[in-house]
Amino acid sequence: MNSLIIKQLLLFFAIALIEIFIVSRMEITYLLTPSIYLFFIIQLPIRTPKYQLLLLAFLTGFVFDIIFHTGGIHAASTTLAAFVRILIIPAFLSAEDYDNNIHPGIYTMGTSRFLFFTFILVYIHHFAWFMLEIFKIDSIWITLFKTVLSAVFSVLLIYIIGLLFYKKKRI
Amino acid sequence: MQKLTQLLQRFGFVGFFLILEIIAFVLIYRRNIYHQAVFNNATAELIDRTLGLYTETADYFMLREENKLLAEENARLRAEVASSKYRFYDNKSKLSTPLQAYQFLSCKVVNNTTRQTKNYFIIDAGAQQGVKPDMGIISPNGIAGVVVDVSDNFALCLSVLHIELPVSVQLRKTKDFGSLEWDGKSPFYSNLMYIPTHVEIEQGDTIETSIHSTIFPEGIPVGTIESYTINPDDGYYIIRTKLFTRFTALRYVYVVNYLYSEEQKALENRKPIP
Repeated sequence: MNSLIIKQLLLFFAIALIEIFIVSRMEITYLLTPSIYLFFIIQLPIRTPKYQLLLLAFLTGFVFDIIFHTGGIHAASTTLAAFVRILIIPAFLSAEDYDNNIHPGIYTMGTSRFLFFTFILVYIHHFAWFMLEIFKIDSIWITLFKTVLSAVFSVLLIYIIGLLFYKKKRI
Repeated sequence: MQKLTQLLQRFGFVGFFLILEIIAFVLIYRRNIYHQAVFNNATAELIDRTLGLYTETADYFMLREENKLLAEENARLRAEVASSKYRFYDNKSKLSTPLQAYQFLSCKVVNNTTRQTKNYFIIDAGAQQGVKPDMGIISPNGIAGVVVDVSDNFALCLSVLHIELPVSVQLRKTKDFGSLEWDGKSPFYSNLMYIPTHVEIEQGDTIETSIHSTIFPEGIPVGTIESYTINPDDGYYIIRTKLFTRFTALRYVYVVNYLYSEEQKALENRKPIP
């Protein structure tokens, strides 16, 4: 159990460094603003207690709120994504996965299943984030368009990071 | 009763989720107050120091570009000094020494965003260097932002790329003034609003900071007119302005200290006697 916590902490730091120094500094266009730190919430073991998952998501968002000076926008959207993860996870996993308490990932879920799962969560996270950030309903179409583009790009980045962090074996 | 406990066990997490969301919304709502509380403490200082270290390393790769900008600025300033100006001397009234109204402090940007609709940047000068909230920030080629909060050695600044930071600007040719308001999209363009349609404008005209601002000196170049349309709602121009400052590569900036800002503000705030 202890080694799991240490591993997760190291992963969190690695993801935070990548987010702060690489992903958040990508200046492509205002329509493409990826972020990858949601990967930390996505990959938590599937039998993580619900309260713990929500609290972890809130704290993760809060850390990024402090770093990027955004009030509570990251915390609100990350908690929402964690809540959706609790709701949709039974649809994506079998009883066997539950028994093994897997970390959702490319090698444990299979590429297409993992990408679909990630896309739903990243999309919800990004949409909540953009809406809270701009706080205007009249720019909803541009926000939706921005969300789709950014979410696709984020999922691509998460896929690459997923390939880097995990070896091809069952945990 | 047993059913109620069961229900709580199954759906209690929904309540917990709602509580966390409410906390997050309170944080968003109290954004500015919260900044002041958090920004002054040691954690924020540590984060900014780390980000500063990163910028320092990244700087070496930008030196060539930076040198070019500084050389250009030097050339402009050389043209401004007294010796390069021709002056009529009147024997009757001797020129008095002009009063110093503005001072500039050179500093470096340690963290900067351009992709949000509310962008901030952090500079490596703070209360100990004499930086105070409401001071302006200019870049070597244009305006950059306004200080909103300071810690001991750092200052948090609103970028001109912030949808809630209108800047008072004027047309260099006619001195008609309007308000520069960013639309939250491209970091290279902003919109100049409230110029009446009887004013003659042309593509390529220069826009500069206006005399009404207590933050920037008058005449700091802001950008050039790219195109313009007339707003059907209020009949004023909407002028698309290409900004001189390259916000995506903002590195060295100057803090503008207007020495009479307190005095001017005190006078503006003084209520007329009824």
